[in-house]
Parts: sequence; structure tokens; C-alpha cells
Amino acid sequence: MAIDGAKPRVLLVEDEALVAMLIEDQLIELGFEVVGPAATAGQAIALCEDEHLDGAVLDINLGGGQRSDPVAEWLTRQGIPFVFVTGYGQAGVDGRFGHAAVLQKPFTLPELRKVTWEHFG
Amino acid sequence: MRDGDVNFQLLADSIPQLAWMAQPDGWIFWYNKRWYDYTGTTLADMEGWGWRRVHHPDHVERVVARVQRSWETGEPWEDTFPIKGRDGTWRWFLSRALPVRNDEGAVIRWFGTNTDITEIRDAEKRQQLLLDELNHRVKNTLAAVQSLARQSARGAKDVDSFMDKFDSRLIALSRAHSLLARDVWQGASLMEVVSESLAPFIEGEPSRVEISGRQIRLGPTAAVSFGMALHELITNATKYGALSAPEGRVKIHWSLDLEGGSQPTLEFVWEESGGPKVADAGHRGFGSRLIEDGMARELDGDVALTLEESGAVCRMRLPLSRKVMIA
Repeated sequence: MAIDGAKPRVLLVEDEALVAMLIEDQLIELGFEVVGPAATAGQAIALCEDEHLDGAVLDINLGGGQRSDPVAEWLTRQGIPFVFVTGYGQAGVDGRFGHAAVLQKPFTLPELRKVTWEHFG
Repeated sequence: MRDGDVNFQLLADSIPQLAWMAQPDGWIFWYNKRWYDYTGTTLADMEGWGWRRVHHPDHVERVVARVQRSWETGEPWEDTFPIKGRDGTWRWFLSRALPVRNDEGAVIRWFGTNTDITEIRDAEKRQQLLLDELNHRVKNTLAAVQSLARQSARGAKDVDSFMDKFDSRLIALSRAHSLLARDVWQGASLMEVVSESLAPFIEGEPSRVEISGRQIRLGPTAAVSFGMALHELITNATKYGALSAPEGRVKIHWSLDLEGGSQPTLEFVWEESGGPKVADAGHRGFGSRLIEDGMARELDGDVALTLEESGAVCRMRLPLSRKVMIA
């Protein structure tokens, strides 16, 4: 939950620059303050530790064989809700996060609004 | 030995399969030479049901149950499973057995073969991985196109100006993908990405752009980002920068810094000169956002885009990684 009526702060993890710009703009348009975007799990965790977060939007596959699973693990431990966005669909989600919401790319603004506000709006 | 026996032995030992014969109840009494060569066993080890020892513990129960059913019913047998080689490694075999019957139709023996399909299985696995990767890439590419549409709509004064921007960015994206397709979606060389991204803009006067740098390989997403960044740089240079003036030049060069920090780093420089004095637009457009924020993050490096006396300069310091590699 956001503090003092401020905008809810959402971490965005997405490795592809073009796609990161899109989701960043969409989140801003939906009334979130975007933390990041981070392109690697390392960048994301460094941001997580410094910032207050209300939620996170995570691309699953971060390129070069890297995944966002360590970020999802960290968020789970902190009790911070997150949703996955991916080109793979449900099949790409690690079993540990089987019940996390998954949004299939590409998606519309209303689809992103629905899933984000359901989980951390 | 009779001629027939000699011929049979020659045939049995020259076929590429492992082969064996069993009595009607499944007791194996003969293997060809290739079986012994592959498994490193002897008939004494393997006779009867001894073959179970070269079977994988995860499969042997199923294999025994299914082959037993064939011994009992006389139905042809087929199964696929790994068999242990003499060096301890496992290879996959497609295995079949057919009953040989007498005039009364009773089974008098079984003739079986094991065909090594390890390479076919590996190829199938590689193909599946590639297909998964391609499906993923298609979805991400559609999201990238969606991004281009959104970014091009920003600040566009009408539909025509939106379409102009969107079209040219879409073509740049497509060009980057042509390079990736050439290399089965594994990546592209930086030199190719640079020269192909700039080619349509410098047709007829290639001498105005100087490109030099060592062989560097880019991963698939880095190749796309470089392609898009270069498209924005060359578009700006053509419209407002060095290439809008007759004497203007662009120099693009890169090298490796192996000494500087803890990590080997690619230093990539785009330098314009001889163009009109460019005023800072005052706002950050798609290009500067993509280059300064997007690429810096994606490739975990430092990127600076500056307007100097001589023209626009873009400097990137990108640590070598699985996205930026020495070729």
C-alpha cells in the first residue's frame, strides 16, 4: 500500500530496452511511480534494497540465460506482491511461483491495469 | 562353419544396429559383435536376462514389463530407452523385436535390434529449444512494435508524421531481425549491425561515414537495441546533424578496454563533425531515452549522448557479457 496517498511504487524488470520503455510508460499512465526499469536481476535487487516498493512487474527471461527468479524470491520473502509479464505464457513460470499472475506479451493497457490493480493497486 | 552361417555372421556384424536372438520365452542366447563392442560385455554376462544390467534404472522396469508381454502374446515389441556403453555413457536406442514362426505358427525364436537414435533425439531437442525461443522472440517483438507505435505517437503532430516515424523505425527493427535470422537467431556481429543499419542512409556517399572496430558479437536483444539506437542516431544526423551539411562526417569506432576496470569493456563511439551547430532540443525524445537509459541498463554500462561544438557524440562503455562478446 502506498504511504500518505502517494502514488504506489512499482519495480519494473525487463531486459529489452524497447519493451521496458513501453511498460514504463503504461505503468506511469496507470498512476504508478516506476522504480527502474532494471534489466538484470542484480540491478533489480540493488533497487529493491534501497527503495520502498508496493509491487513489481517482472519479465521472466532476462536474456543471456538470466531469469528474474532471484528477484521474485526476494519479493516473496519481503511479502511484496508481483506479476509476471512474458512471451512464454504460463509455461515459462518457475514452479515456485506457480500461483503468481502472468500477463502474456503483448498486452493492452486495460489488461495491465486489471492485473496490477488487482495485485497491488 | 557352413557358408550360410558365415554369411549370416557377416551380415549380423556389419549392420549398424545392435542385434540379438531370443528363445520363445525371451531367453537371449546370441548377440552380434556390435552389441559386445558397444556394451563391453560378454555372452556370459548378458545371456538370458543379463541385459538388464546395461539398462537405465529409470527405464528398466517398464522395458521388462513391456517385452515380457510380447514374449507372452507373440506381438512385435517396440520401445525406446538408454543403454549403457562400455565407457559408462548412456545412448538412446529404438528397439524392436519380431517373432520368427514355424509352419504351425508357433514362435520358435525372436529376432531383435537396437538402433542408436541419440543424435536424432538431440536434434529434436535442439529444434524444440529453438522453436520455444522463436515463439518467445515473436511475442517480445510484437511488444517492441507496440512500443515503437506508442513512442512514435508521442509528439507526432498528425497521422502522417506518426506514420513516417513509425514506418522508418519498424523497418529498422526488421533490418535488425534480418541479421538475426541469418544467424539462426543466435546473435549478430557489431560490424554487420552498424553497416547494415547505416547503409540505406549513406547510399551514394559512403565515404562520409567511417566505420572501424574489431570483431564483436552481439546477443539477439543487444543486436536489436544497437540497430534501433543507430537508426535514431543516423536519422538525427541526416535531418539536423553532420549529414545534413555537405561537408559533415560521421566517425564510428570501437575498441576493447582490457585494462581499465575489473571487467573488459567495449568502448563504442559515434562522433559527428562538420555539421551545422546543433542546439539542444531541450526535451528528451525517443532516441535519447532508448540510447541513454535503455541501452545503458540493458547492457549494464555507461552511455552518454552529448552535443559538442563539432556535433553529436555518443559514447558507450559496455562491459563484456553474454550480450556483448569477443567474436
